[in-house]
Amino acid sequence: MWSYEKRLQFPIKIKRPNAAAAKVIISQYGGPDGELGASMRYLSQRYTMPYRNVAGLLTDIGTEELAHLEMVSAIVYQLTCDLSVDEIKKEGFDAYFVDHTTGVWPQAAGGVPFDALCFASKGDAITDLHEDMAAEQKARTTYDNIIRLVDDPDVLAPIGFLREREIVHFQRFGEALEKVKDHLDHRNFYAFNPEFDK
Amino acid sequence: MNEANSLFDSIVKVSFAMDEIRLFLDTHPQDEEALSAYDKLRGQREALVRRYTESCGPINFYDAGGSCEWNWVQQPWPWEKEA
Repeated sequence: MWSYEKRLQFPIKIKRPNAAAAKVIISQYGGPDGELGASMRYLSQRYTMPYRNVAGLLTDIGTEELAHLEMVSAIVYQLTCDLSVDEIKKEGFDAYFVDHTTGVWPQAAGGVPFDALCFASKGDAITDLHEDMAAEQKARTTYDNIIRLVDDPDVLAPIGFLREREIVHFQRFGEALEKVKDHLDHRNFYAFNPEFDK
Repeated sequence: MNEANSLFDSIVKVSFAMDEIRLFLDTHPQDEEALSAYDKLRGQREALVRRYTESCGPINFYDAGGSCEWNWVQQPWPWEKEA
């Protein structure tokens, strides 16, 4: 069960519409390293994670990613809600507009629809935590790239916040990986899979 | 900044501090400094949320209600520019 709070994790108040920025930022909603994939990745992996502290971390980071998904969607919404048709055409938002108007829909910047294949739930604690650490770094790179492409401070503040969270999550997943290893055979970490071999 | 805005701003800040410490405690469950900070923030947050809910309306849906009109859907949603 989740309990909804009527607030964003970090405030978003964007004054100027900007379709070109929305077009690239939407990738962090439905793209390969976006927040939708992040939340589904951790919330899927947690069921078979045999250590309660690590399952707790997956639950808590997965929950925070839902709040990030809401933040990215709010950024896209505020960047596109007051656009004119002329601006939509001029800023290259027409290809998105024809299918979705200004409705928020999960896709990558290049137009590829969200695909569950962009995240893994492999059922192996070592494999999944390495996936999670890599995912946080890939999301951090994507935010770095967005920061290169956008210059509105109203947009950069929440994007900078989200980028920093990727680094914190990477750190916590690294600590979780060490905790998992404590339970394994130190001569051969791959001797058994704690999620399957009981 | 009016009182409602400053109350809301404090809730966002205190909640985020708790979000950060919660993840830290998941991997450092016996860290006394973090445990005591989380405990202190939880008390602050409860008081702030109670004050905000009484004067401006519910933040959490379990706190929604109303004597003659449902107050959950009256305030702006968080993604609105007016929020």
